[in-house]
Amino acid sequence: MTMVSDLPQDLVEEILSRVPITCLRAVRSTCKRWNGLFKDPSFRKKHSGKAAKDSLVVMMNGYRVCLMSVNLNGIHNHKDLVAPSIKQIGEFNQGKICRVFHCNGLLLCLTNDCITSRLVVWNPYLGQTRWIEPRTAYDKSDMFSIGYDNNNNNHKILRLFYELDSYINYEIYDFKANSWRIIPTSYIIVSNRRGVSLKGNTYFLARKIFEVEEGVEDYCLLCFDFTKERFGPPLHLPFHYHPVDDDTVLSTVREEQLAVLFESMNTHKIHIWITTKIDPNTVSWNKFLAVRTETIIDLYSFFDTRSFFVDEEKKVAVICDIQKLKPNRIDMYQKACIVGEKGYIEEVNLGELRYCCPLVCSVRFQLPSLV
Amino acid sequence: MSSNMIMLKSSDGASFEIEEAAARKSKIIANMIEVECVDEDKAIPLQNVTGNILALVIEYCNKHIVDDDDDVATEEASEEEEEAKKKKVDDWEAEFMNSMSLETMFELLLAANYLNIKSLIDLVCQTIANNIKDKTPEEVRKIFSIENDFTPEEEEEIRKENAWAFG
Repeated sequence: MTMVSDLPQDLVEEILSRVPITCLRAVRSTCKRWNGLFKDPSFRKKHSGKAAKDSLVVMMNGYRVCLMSVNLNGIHNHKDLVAPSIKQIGEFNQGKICRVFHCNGLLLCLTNDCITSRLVVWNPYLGQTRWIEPRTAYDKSDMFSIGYDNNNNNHKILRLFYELDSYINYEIYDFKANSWRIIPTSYIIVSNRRGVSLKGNTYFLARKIFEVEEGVEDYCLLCFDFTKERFGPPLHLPFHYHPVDDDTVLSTVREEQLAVLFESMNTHKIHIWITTKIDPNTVSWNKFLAVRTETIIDLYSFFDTRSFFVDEEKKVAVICDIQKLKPNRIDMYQKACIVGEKGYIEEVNLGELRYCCPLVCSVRFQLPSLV
Repeated sequence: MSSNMIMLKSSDGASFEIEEAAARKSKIIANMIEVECVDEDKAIPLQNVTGNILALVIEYCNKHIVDDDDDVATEEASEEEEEAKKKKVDDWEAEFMNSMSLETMFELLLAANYLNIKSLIDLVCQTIANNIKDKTPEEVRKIFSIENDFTPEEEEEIRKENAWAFG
């Protein structure tokens, strides 16, 4: 009788690499041979190429981080709309998590229990965690990003923090060296807007400190290159951003391109662009969608709460936001709007959540190296 | 289109006639045809494939050669037609795999691998992978006749890791 044990290793890998990332627990717990596979980088690479079909979304829910699998396949299917399916596939519950950042499938979480803030890296694929000790105490207002150094095959964390004199400082944490060090730079990133990770580097919205006309602040995109440990040149945005009137959010597309959402209070429109070329030194944009905001009911953008992701094939964007206060004025509704070329399509209720923190959306998990 | 027929012979001596175009789905057979080591009167011996499995392989190849011809004929087919056609193939494949035992799937996979038919390898692997979805480790072991070789300590370790893992 032919059994799975009669198959050569490469065929076993072909099969297991097709098991969705959301169903890995059973595979890993089956036997030593299969468990061992998931620690093998070449298998992980194979798996990341084949298995990820659904969009995976990282979501904050009541101080916990949840991983949700979102399937948009029903959208646009024939004429009838089919509700997208959302399924929770993982949860991380280590203290009160107030912020979360993502790179290559690693999640960096900042926890806060009113007195101290702690930093932990979570690898949901391998089920590992690593606490990162601070050099100077973390603060809730710190901004972090996690990235990858291609020369040294090493993850790093960038921390942006304020000293007492309210001067912005940057320091970088090296996973191999297990230590922090200050890096000198004069760039000013917009510290209340999270950066997004792309190919190991992080792109931030930043204030252009050069070529500024009198009285006019200009904004740009800045890439922090984790290999070179420095910011690249200012990259142009396809719009003029005014921090008081406008809202801008960054996102990634298939971990290959950058997307930017721009909402202007003056034009009552949400525009989304996707890059056609992006690296630390160059950018070019292509318009993806424009939606009139009045077609989207009750979507208010609070401080750093909005996030979104796009599905290029389906020509839709999913915008997640906090909707409004419930009567008790503490809890908020969290919801996602799906918008397409013809405007608002559908609302997905993400449930009632305690107002604590933003949601983060991410599209695809590449399988990370060990924490 | 008049098509050349070629003969394939299974390891247990059964002979099958198949259109050359269908047989070319197998990179190995296509290669043999290219280098002209196929004698028109003689069957190609396939020592690693039994007759019942070869019959399935041929059924698959025949179905897909027809589809490939369709592709050429209706190059400018509308999106809806494309979608309908794709659905037809998907339905056929689902039906084709549905009637198969796991043991047959493994044998078919080995045959597809030996004959180097990429799309059939993909189909069988995906079907087997779907069998693993939403199962407990115990169920997975049972389906695949795999022995649990973890010590209780190792099992506890895995369980702990998995507490924070996907799934």
